[in-house]
Order: sequence, then C-alpha cells, then structure tokens
Amino acid sequence: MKKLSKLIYIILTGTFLLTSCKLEDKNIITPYQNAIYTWYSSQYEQLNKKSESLKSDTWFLYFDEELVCDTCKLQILNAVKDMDNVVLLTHFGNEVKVELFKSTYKLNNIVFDGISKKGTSLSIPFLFRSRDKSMYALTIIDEEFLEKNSLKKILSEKL
Amino acid sequence: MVIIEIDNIHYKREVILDSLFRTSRIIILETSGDNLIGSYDKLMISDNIIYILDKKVTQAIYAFNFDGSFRFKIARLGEGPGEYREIRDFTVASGSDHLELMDFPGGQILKFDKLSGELEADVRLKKNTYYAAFEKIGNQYITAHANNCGLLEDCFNLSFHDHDFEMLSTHFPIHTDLLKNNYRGEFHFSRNENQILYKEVLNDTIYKVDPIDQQVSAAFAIDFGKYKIPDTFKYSRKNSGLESLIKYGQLNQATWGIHDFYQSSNVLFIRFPLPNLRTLYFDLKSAKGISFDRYKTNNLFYLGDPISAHQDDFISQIPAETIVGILKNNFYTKDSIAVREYYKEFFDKTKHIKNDSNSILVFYEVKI
Repeated sequence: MKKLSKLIYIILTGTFLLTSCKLEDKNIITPYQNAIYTWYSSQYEQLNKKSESLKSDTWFLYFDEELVCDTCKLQILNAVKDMDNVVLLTHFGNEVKVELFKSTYKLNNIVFDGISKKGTSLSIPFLFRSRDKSMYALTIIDEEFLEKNSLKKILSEKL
Repeated sequence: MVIIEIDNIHYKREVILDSLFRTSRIIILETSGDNLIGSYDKLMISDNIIYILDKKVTQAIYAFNFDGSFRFKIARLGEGPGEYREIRDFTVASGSDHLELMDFPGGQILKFDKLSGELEADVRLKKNTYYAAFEKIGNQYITAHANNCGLLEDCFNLSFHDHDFEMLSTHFPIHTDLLKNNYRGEFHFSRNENQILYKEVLNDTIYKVDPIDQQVSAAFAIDFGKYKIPDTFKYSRKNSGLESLIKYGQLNQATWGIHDFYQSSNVLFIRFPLPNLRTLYFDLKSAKGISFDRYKTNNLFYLGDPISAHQDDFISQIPAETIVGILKNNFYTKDSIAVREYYKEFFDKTKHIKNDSNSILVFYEVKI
C-alpha cells in the first residue's frame, strides 16, 4: 500500500501558450529562424533516423497543434493533407490523439509524433527539408505568407 | 469586492486533498463509435446536459447526459455551408434552446438545437476585432477580445452585443503596450450557471459581468504581493510578449498573473504560475484560503485538474491514459488483490477503461 501512496504523488505543473500566427515585422524573422535552427540542431539525428525509409524529396511540416493559431489550422492542413511527401511533426505524445487528429483533418500524411520541443515554443508552423545535418528550403508559414501565397500551389510546384 | 492577498494566504508546499475535498458525483463518459474526445478545453452544463469542447484535437463539441451516456456531437469542420473553420468558443444561454458556436475565421455564429445538436441558424460576425471568447445570457452576447488587434477598430477587452451581434457597449480599452503581442493563452470567462466571471488580459482582477445592465464590476482583486511582476515591466515596451513575462517570472520568482479561475457557490479557485502552477482555494464565507504547489491523496478520483464549476461543485477531469497507467502499475501487480480491495470503488468504476476511452469527470466540493 505504501508503494501506491508514493505513486499517487503528483506535482502540479502547467504549460503556457505563447501563440501567434503573425510576425510583426521583418526584424522578428531572424530570432524565429534562429529558434528553428536551434531546435533542428538538437533534433536532426532523431529526425533523420525516423525518416530513413522516406524519399529524399520529403518535406517536413513542423506543426505544434497546441500553439498554432486556430485560424490557420484548417487552411494549412487542407493544403497538405493529400500530399504524401509532406510529413507532419506533432507533439501529442499519444497515439490515440494522433489518430483522432488525422481523422478530424482527413490527413493522409505520415505523422511523426513526439519529436521533442525541448522547451522551445515554435508557434508558427514551418516547412523544411532535411539532409544529413542540414535544414534547407525553410518556409515559415505565418499569416502574411498565408495571405499572399497558396501553400498548396507552392508545395505542388516544389514537389 | 473581495481582496485576496496572496502573502497572507496560508501556503503549504504540499497538501493532502482528502481533508479538503468531498466527492459529490463521478461520471464515466461513455465511449462509443466516434465520440472519443481529444482534449477537454471547455465544459459547461445546461439543463443537466454536459457539453465539452475539444479545440485542440477534433474541433468538435460533445454532449452527454448526467449519467455519462452520450447524446450527440457537433463536428462540422470544413469550409462549406453549415460548416465551421474553427470553434473559437461555444456557449449555451440559460433558458435558450440553442447551443451557439463561434467560428471566427468563418465570420459566423452557428446555432444548434441544444438537445439534438441539429443546426438551426447562423448569425454573421462583424470581424472588426479579434474575438477570443464569448458568452450569452438571455439575448445578449458578451465577448472577450484578443489583444493583438493591431489596426482593427475595436480594440477593447470586453463588449456587449445584441442578438444580431450588433455592438452595444465596450469596456476596458486594450493597453497600448499590450496591443502588439498575442496572449492567446489567457483565460477570459468562467461561468457557473448564470454567473459569469471575466478577466482581461494580464489583469489581476476578476470581474463579475451583468449582461442585462451591461455592467462589469470587480468581484475579486488578487494581490500577488511579493510575487507580482511590477506594472512598470508588464505595461511597458520591455514586455515583448508572454515569453518575456515568463522569463521575468522565472528570474524573479514572480507571476504574470491568473492562469485560470472557477467559482463554485462558496469557493473561488485560481491557479497562477511561479513558474509551475500554484493552486489557491479561497472560501468566500470564512474568507480563509489555502495555496499549494503539490498534493497527495488517497482518493484516486482527486487526481484530475479542475476544468469547470457547477453550483456547489468543481469539476475535474481524469484522462483515460492516467487511469490506465494507475491500473497497470498498481492494480495488476502481485499486491493487486489488496489494492483492489482498498480502492474498490475506483477499481469497479474504472477497470473497463482503456487508452482510447473518454475521461472520468469528478464533481467535488471544497471545504477549507
């Protein structure tokens, strides 16, 4: 019984949602890109390992389902849902939720769930390609990008 | 107005919940077919129907009876007629036959029959500001605005609207230093039947909203004392968004303010980050409170976090994966017979729960 009492010892913690779809001006892009590169430098090994069997022209869409602005979700996911060369990186940490998410947005993509965020809050989704230790063709999908571009068209052209 | 001085509230790093809580009701939400809820982002009860919003995973609203049986779900994500691009928020006005859902990017409020979930009507939204959340009493809408309204016209924190969503009055202009940053994690409305409490962005006061007279009055002022992030930082250019406030808080053991809040008939619950969430229960009759960072309990039904309040109770949610973990690690081991006997009610109610089951809701009163 003592064992159980210890097991039910809970620490209250919380997460704080820093969310935005909008980059305020051009000067903010660099710190955000830096945050992306910092994240990538700590995660590329895991990413490469997971994507060994994928084609070399695979795109990765970093998508933090908790932080992405709600207004942008459907627009972004509709654009990529039928593109099997786009792999989604999510953070549910729960297979059941991943399946629910895929079925809600009718996603036909491969989803890599649980590539660590390591304390970074990358609220704006971004597309990139990965080879060895390099991230390239980085595209940050902020509100301005979505207003001025068709993600579907850009992906079709690039793919 | 009740002033709650955090420095004078009895603080214990760790409390035993069993002496504070008393269970009123346990509801096992039915799982059947495609009614699995991904996240429990808002819960409200109207005429003994429990409505749960899942914003993060399935973008749907689920309705259950008080015995936990499933009634219906509203899942119309899409861009066609009668569909929504996002559920920004939902509410059920008292005395109304409708459940109403705000689709901000779609520029509409969709009205559903609250008993069946059938779509009945829609109201167009004027998108001259960013709406973050809404409530409705009688025929009046009350909206909370997101603060990053940029060049939009109506940069207020709160507004009242008529049944056609025409704006009637506005309150609390958004502070100019807070206009540029998005604090979407902010929790705005908390509702217990007809009582609506409201908090504006980064404000430490909780207001009571009277929609009939379109009045807002301070109900609770939280004085964070030594933990307060000074206004000279909060309302200045040094505050470059929630991240800078969190950083300041971490460096100075301070809090940017109220994380979430609910009020039962007699008790106020709030949590605030330091940087982990500290919980406070405050008894409104005795004016006594207790705050803590951690808890222990021998009642496994107390393992959830509060997500709503209903009449005298708070309502917490225990995710299925938590229950499955507890069962696996404690109820199916060599000590399991003794454990099952000791926690008989818990085992009997939860033994059929799987990872892909819905949560348990626990209604409990707090006595301080």
